Amino acid sequence: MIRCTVLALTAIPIVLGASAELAGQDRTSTQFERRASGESSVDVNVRFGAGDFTLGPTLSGNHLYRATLEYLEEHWEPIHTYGSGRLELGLQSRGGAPRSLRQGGEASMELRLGPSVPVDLSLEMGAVRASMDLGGMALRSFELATGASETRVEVSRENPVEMSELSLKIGAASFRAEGLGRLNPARISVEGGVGEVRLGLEGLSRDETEIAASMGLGALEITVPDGVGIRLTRSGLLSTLNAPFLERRGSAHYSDDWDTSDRRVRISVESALGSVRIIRGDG
Amino acid sequence: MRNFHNSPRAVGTRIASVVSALVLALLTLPIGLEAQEPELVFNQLTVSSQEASLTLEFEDGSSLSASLRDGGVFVDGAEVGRYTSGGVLESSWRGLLASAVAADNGQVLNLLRDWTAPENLSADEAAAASALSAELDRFVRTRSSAAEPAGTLPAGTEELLQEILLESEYLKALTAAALARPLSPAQVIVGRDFRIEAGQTVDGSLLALNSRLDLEGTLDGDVVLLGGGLRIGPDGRITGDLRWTDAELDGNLEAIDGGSQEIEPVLGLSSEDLSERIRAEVRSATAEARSTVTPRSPRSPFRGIVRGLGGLFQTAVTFAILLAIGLGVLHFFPRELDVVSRTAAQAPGRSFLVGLAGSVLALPVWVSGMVLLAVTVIGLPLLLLWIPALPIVVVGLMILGFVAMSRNVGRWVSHRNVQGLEGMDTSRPAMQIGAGLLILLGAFAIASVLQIGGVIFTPFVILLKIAGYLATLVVGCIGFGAVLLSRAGRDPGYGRGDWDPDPWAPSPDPFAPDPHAPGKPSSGPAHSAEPAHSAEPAHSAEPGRSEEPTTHQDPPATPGDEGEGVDR
Repeated sequence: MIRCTVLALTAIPIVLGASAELAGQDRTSTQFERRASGESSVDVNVRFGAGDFTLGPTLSGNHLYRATLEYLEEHWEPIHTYGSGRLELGLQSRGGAPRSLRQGGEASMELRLGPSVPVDLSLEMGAVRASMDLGGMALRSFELATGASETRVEVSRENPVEMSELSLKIGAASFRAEGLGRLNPARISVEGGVGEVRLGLEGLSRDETEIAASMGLGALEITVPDGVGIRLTRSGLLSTLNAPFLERRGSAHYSDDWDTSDRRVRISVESALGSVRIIRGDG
Repeated sequence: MRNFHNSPRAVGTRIASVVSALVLALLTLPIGLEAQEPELVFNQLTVSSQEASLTLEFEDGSSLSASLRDGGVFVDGAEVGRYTSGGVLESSWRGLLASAVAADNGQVLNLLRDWTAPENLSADEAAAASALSAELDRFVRTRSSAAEPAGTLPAGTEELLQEILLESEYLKALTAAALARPLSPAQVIVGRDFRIEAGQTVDGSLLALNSRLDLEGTLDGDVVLLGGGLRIGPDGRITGDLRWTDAELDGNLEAIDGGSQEIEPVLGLSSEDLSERIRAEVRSATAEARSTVTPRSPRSPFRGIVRGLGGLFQTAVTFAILLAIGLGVLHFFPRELDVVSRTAAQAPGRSFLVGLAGSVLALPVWVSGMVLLAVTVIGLPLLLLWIPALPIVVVGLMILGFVAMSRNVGRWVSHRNVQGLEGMDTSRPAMQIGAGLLILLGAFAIASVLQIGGVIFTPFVILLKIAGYLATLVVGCIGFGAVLLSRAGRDPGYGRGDWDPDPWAPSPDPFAPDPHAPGKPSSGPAHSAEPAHSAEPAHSAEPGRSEEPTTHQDPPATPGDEGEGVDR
């Protein structure tokens, strides 16, 4: 009952907001919604130049995806193609003119993916404020490339399928992720340009997980749950390592439970100029 | 041979029963009922100031697109009516789609089912709304999952019902036929052949859907034929009339006592339109999933890298071209270049004002010259020369001035211990020009490099480009003014002052009178000599420049050379 009330109260401003937008007639709303119909898997490629981006699971289990785009039609046009197990979605600049940050703020995209079909998800983004919940969908692989962005990722639920690789290519950005362990990734690769990258591995259940990070100028912080063994190697003359609980053995740093833990993380970091921090966390 | 028996019911009643059944069937289709919502595979909704449209695709391959745009109501791309912009119909339709966009997953069908055309519409809008409702009836409402009990259908009409539901245009035609005038008691034939043998008579009317009628005998009644065909043999006869649509007629059609009439569907579609609509629907049903959005090559958000590299390349090309021009001028017109450089250095303020005025006046002068030449008979031949010549000359002089200013900047650099240039022999004019160009174009190059870094540097990129353009404007005006003041480097009057007190360089004035010449007083510090062909004054304040020539020949004195070398 309370949930329904909350949903209703939430829906009212959404509807009113949509109506107000329609009355203002200055933005275009486009929605694409598709039901799953026997697909074994889907490649989902999203390109979103600038604006606000939201990713989450669908409310209905039999939906493949639902994307809602809001944009100024004179500046942007939607991308949507689907066929042969491949979905292209997003917004692209109209007429080839470069879009300013202000114009980017005039666009938004909400993408929801269903849990019934395994998805290889690739997100390519420019100047974007992104909020993602990767829980509740079946992600076989996940690739994120951002420009100057502010990205927040959480994984609220376990990924029902094994993820082969989680790839993050981050430009000048602030990136924070929590619960990446729930995605069940075999490998996490991070390429950071300028900025701050925080990775939380909460929910890690795999025996072996590999993390390869290559940082340009910035800070990398990795939170590893208690009870997970850590092996860290790093290269880079001008980078600093802040992981007091790791013990150096030869060319690598180890946590004291490395030899006994049934869950291990191998971390290799290349950092040109910046700091690397490994901390312990719950989960 | 099949015989028909008269029905005790009036055909009008029968038609009414069928239509009533159809209405019931909109809510409860008795064949293969299941939750219909999953049949909707894809939907696209677009609401903007220009249009409000929806596209639906169903599991069986059928699809529906409906749109209100530009005053027209479109169904599957065909205009079926008009609406008033901002009117009741548009508001209702937009509200429907806006609600659908805001609704949770899977609610689209329910919202579409619940939508009803508003009342108090104009005639045009009412027709358009009727068309929209009909299409929604066909695609959405008939797929309702409502589990109400099915109505009792007239016996023998199930097949007809299915067919009619699948071909909604037939429903319209049927309605039109029913409204035209009542039939006599009728039999219903759906999707099969029917034949009356020669010499036989069948009492009662026929309502045939997608059937072929072969009449060698007599039909004592009317015929309504929806699709299919009719052939009347030499001895065949219809005592009533024939109403038909989308059917092939053949044979002895004169033997229809009541005559034949093609049924116009309610919406006024001709049989050709109807056929085309059906064909279009078949095509759409077998086509790939369509999208109203034309896919385009997506733009990469990393285009800043490409643009930055492109900017760097552009700057490099500009540098190369200007350097080549500068070296050419240095080689062929060393004295003129030197005079312009000195004029700009000695009289920068005056040069800037003259250059600014010259730039502003260039266009009016050009246009005025064209007018003057055009209105004089003698000037007409010169007009063809004037039109391209003046812009070329002005641009050439501007480039000369810019190169001269580049050299001055290079000279300034040569007398600063600029890090990274220690290994360069910046006392050489060519190096000075190159170094000056590098500095003048540096803002653009740095801006391009920052552009590669991403959008976050955009403010700096903009500032640098503004600074670069302003610097180019100022330098260009000073250079162009110096060119004008020195009459393209032939008049050293403004550039005869001493280089040395100026921070640019300790070079001597190559045009100053020889202090060692008899009767020629020195006008400044001891000048070293420079050969007349050299653009670079020989004297250098820096050590290690022994390769500089140490002797020169004064150019011949020209009237006015004695003027002051200051900014006047």
